[in-house]
Amino acid sequence: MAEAITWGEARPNRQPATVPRTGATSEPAGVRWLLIGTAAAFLAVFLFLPLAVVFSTALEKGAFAYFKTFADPDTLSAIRLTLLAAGISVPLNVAFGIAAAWVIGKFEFFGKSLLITLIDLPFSVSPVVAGLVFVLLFGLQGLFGPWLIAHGVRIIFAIPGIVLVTIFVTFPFVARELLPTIQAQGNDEEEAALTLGANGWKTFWRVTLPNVKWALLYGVILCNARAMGEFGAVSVVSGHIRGLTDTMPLHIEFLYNDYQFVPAFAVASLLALLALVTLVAKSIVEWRTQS
Amino acid sequence: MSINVRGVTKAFGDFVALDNVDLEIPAGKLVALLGPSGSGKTTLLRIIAGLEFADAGTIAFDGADISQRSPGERQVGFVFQHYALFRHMTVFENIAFGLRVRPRSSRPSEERIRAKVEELLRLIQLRNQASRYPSQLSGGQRQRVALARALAVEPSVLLLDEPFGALDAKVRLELRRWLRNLHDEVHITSIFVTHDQEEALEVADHVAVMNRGKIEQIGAPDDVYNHPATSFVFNFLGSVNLFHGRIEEGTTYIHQTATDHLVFVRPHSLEISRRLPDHPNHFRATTKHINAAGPLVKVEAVTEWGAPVQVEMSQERFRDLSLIKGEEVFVVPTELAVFRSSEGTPVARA
Repeated sequence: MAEAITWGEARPNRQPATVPRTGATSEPAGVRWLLIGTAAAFLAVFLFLPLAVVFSTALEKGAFAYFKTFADPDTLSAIRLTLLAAGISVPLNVAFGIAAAWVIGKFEFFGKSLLITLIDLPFSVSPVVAGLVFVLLFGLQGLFGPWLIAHGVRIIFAIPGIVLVTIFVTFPFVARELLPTIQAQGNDEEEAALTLGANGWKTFWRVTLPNVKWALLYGVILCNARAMGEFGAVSVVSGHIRGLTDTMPLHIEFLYNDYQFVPAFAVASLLALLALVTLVAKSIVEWRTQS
Repeated sequence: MSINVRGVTKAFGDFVALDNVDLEIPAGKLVALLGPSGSGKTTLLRIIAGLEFADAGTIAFDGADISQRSPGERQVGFVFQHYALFRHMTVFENIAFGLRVRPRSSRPSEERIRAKVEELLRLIQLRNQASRYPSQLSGGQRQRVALARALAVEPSVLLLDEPFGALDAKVRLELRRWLRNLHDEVHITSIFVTHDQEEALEVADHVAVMNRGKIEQIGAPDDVYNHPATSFVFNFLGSVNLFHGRIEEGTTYIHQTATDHLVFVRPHSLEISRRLPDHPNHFRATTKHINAAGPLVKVEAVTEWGAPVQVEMSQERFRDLSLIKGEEVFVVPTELAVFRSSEGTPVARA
């Protein structure tokens, strides 16, 4: 049977002598290389290729054209707005995520499973629907809209709306990352800290938080990546006022539809770069968590 | 500091963990709470520590009611079964924790903290491991660190929840002797929870035997072992043969069929002989298995009515008898305890 199955360049007859099998769960070299090859090819087509296209299109008219994009005030405004939305939603979701994970992980109370389901809601609801919900709540014809307009507060088609939907779509990330860690650790160390005379605040800062710091950081990274990249929900509430309520993803779409390919891909490359930085940070965190 | 537990009751849903428990612990004593799992011993310890609150009843330290105080205010040292060391801190920082979290006004200086931790590291013989993390230590070392951490705050009471439960047999033995020696040096009022009767009898000044949320008996180890107050205590402390009995003119006879009296006989209180004994209270049995390895020879036999019985004798006696497997012999109880089967209360001893 072994001779009948030959995968590509693998030589099954010689493999066992040179590569000893390490255990019952290991596979023959041929199978291993097939699996690794499939994964690598998949990644190349679906991840590396698009990324390469983004950067090559962005740079096809030279570095000058590329950097000229970032002199455009509308582009700068979009970058600023994206950073602002992420800068507000990430800290708020960190606070919310820690509180929610703490409450769910450490205590038993009525409605706990409902709370867990609600935290997951933004994952299961389409971002467009999420955006529409906020329009229905705060829009001109919405539930609170007329009252808010009467008091001079604009939420929809303005920056507050963008921040609100960003918070909504990103709020599961931190809580979801923290929850398993907090649950796995139990209450022992907190109880020890309490018997040693630490108050609740000191116990939290000196025992609970340091124990979950890597999970927290991981949650923050994922939350930030999503906050910067969110398109659907933001698109619904933004109103696409250039230089005012366009975030980076919205601005990219506008530029692209306007046949401004170089600027569109230049901004896209910046967003991709942010994603890459996030991924590298995530890998470092994962590596630190394991060691 | 003396501890006074009065009328403490605690239920978790329908399960009554503690049922109106009274317990008096004199200052400076080392007391064991001994019982099977689910007997409420850990719950009682956690209520004394303030980690759990009683549904009813009070806890007093030196006569002062502390039932409503937080664990930190009670100044107890608590040692957990699974150590509960702070995993992200070194051994040194673990021990220093209790001193570092004090409010600024009562916090010792950095040199004082350092000196205190050094002193404790010497005490637990881990001076070279100060900069290690808990995950780099063995179980026995971790538990010693946990003990040092609890002692660092100079608690008035030391509470240990199955402190040796997660350790292997040899380390366990070493550590409990070490704990006994430590207690002889510092004389801090201590309570430790255990389900291991040998551990309780060896280490403690007093043993409180718990069962189903109640304290069955409290006393010195030899007192509890030799004069069990209830059938549960007799049964729980060491191996025992259980018979039915009937009492005639003040003498207890072991009986084949069910009666309302239970007779408890320790294996070493049964004597085997070949000749018909003078004593009227005897029965016949057939030896099934003989284990002569160890200081005592253990004989498993079956009584004339088919019940298993365990007998222990000295090697000397075994040689004199030259007992073999499958032999029919006479068995005489030399010492027995009788309890009423319905209540478990003692009736007579012979």
